[in-house]
Amino acid sequence: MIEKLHSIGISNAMITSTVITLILCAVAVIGGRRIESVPSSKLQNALEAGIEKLYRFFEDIMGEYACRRYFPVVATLFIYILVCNYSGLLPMAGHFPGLAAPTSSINFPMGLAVVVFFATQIVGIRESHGPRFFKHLFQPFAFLFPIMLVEQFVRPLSLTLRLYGNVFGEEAVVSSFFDMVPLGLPLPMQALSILMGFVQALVFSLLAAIYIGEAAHTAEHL
Amino acid sequence: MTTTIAIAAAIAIGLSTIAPAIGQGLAASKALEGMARQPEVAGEIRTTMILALAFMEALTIYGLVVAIPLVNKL
Amino acid sequence: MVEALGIDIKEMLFAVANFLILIAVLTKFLYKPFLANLENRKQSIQDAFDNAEAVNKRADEKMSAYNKRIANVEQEAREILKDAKMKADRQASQIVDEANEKASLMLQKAEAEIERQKILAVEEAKEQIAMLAVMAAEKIIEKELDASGQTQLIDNILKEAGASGWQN
Repeated sequence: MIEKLHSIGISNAMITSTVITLILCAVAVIGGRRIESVPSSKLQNALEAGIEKLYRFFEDIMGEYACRRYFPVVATLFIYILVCNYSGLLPMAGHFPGLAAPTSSINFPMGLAVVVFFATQIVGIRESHGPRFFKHLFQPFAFLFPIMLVEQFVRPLSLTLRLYGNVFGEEAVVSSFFDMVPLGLPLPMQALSILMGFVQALVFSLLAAIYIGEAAHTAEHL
Repeated sequence: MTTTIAIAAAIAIGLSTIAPAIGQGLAASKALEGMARQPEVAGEIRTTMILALAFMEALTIYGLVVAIPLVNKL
Repeated sequence: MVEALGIDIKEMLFAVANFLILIAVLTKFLYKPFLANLENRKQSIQDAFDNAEAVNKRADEKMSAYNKRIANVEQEAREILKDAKMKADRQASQIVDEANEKASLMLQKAEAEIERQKILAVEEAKEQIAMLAVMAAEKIIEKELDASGQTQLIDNILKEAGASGWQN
C-alpha cells in the first residue's frame, strides 16, 4: 500500500506528517470531549498543564492581547514541530517504509515558514485595519526600505533552513555514526537530538511568536 | 574537478561551523554568568539565550545548505 | 539549488494543509475549551475568595456588635449595682437616723421621768422632813424648849432640806 502511495508521488514525510496530524487530532478530540471543572482524568490534567505552560510562555513573548488572539497558531506550531522532530527518533525511522521525520525534508519546514510569513502579514493588516501596515517597512527611515523588505523575505528562509538543517544534520550524523559503529555510538547523539528536537521546536515557535506579536503591535506605532 | 568540489564543501561547512561555535560559546558563557548572578531572571535569560543561539545556529545552517548541493555533485 | 535541496511544491502544500487542519482541530477541541475552563476555574476561585472575605467581614461586624452590646450590658450592670448600693446606703443611714432620733427621744423621756421622779422624791422628802421636824418638835417640846428656839430650829431644818440636795 505504501508502495502504491510512493508511486503516485506521496513521500514518506507526507505519510508521517499526516499520521501525526491524525494522532494529534485524536488526542485533542479525546482530551477535549469531556472537560470537568475539577479534573479527574490524567489526560485532562496533563493537557491542562501543558496548555497553560505554553500560554504563559507565549504571553510573556507576545504580550497579553496578541497571545489571546494568535495563541493557536504558535502553540500548534510548537506541538506539531515537536512531535515531528521526535518522530525521527522512532526505531527504523528513515528506513521503515512510510516513516521519516517530516522536518528532515526541506519542504515541510518551508511550508510552515510560509504559513508563518503569511500569518505575519495577515495579522499586521488585520490589526492596523488595512494596507497601512506596510508603512512599517519605511520606518524608521524610508531609504532602509530595501533592507526591510529583504528582511521580511529572509525570515521564512532562515526559519526553514534552521529547522531543516538542524534536524537533517542531526539525522545525518546519527546515520553516519550508525554506519561506523552500529551499537552504542549513536546513542549520545540521539540523546542530544531529544534536546535538539525540543529546542528547535521552541525556537521556531518563539520566532513565529515574536514576528506575529511584532506585527500585532506595529499598528500602535504607525 | 571532483577534488575541488570536495574541498569547497569541506571549507564551506568547516568555516561556517567555527565562527558560530565561538559566538555561541561566548553567548552561553555570558548567559550562564548572568543566570548565576541573578537566578531570579534565569527564565528570561534562558529564553533570550536560546533565541540568540538560534540566530547563530542559522549561520552554520547556511554553510550546511551550501555544502549539501556540493556534496550531491560529487 | 532548488533541485539539489529537494524542494517540492506538492510536499509543501501537504505540510501547509496538514498544519492548517491541525490548527483548526486543536483550536476547536483543545485551546478554546481548555483556556475557557482555566479562566472559569480562576474566576470561580476568585469568587470563592471574595465570598469568604465578605463572610469574614460580616462575622467581624457581628462580633464587634456583640462586643459592644456586652460592654453595654456590663455598664448597665455596674450602674444598677451602684444604684442599689446608693439606695441601700440611703436606707441604712435613714434607719440609723431614725434609731438615733428614737434613742434621743427615749433619753429625753427618761430624763423627764427622772426629773419627775426627782421632784416627786423631793416632795416626799420634804413631807418626811416635815414629819421628822414635827417629830423633832415633839421631842423638843418634851424637853421644854422655848417657842422662839423651836421656830428657829424648824426653819433652819426646812431651809437646809430645801436648799441642799441631801439625797444626792
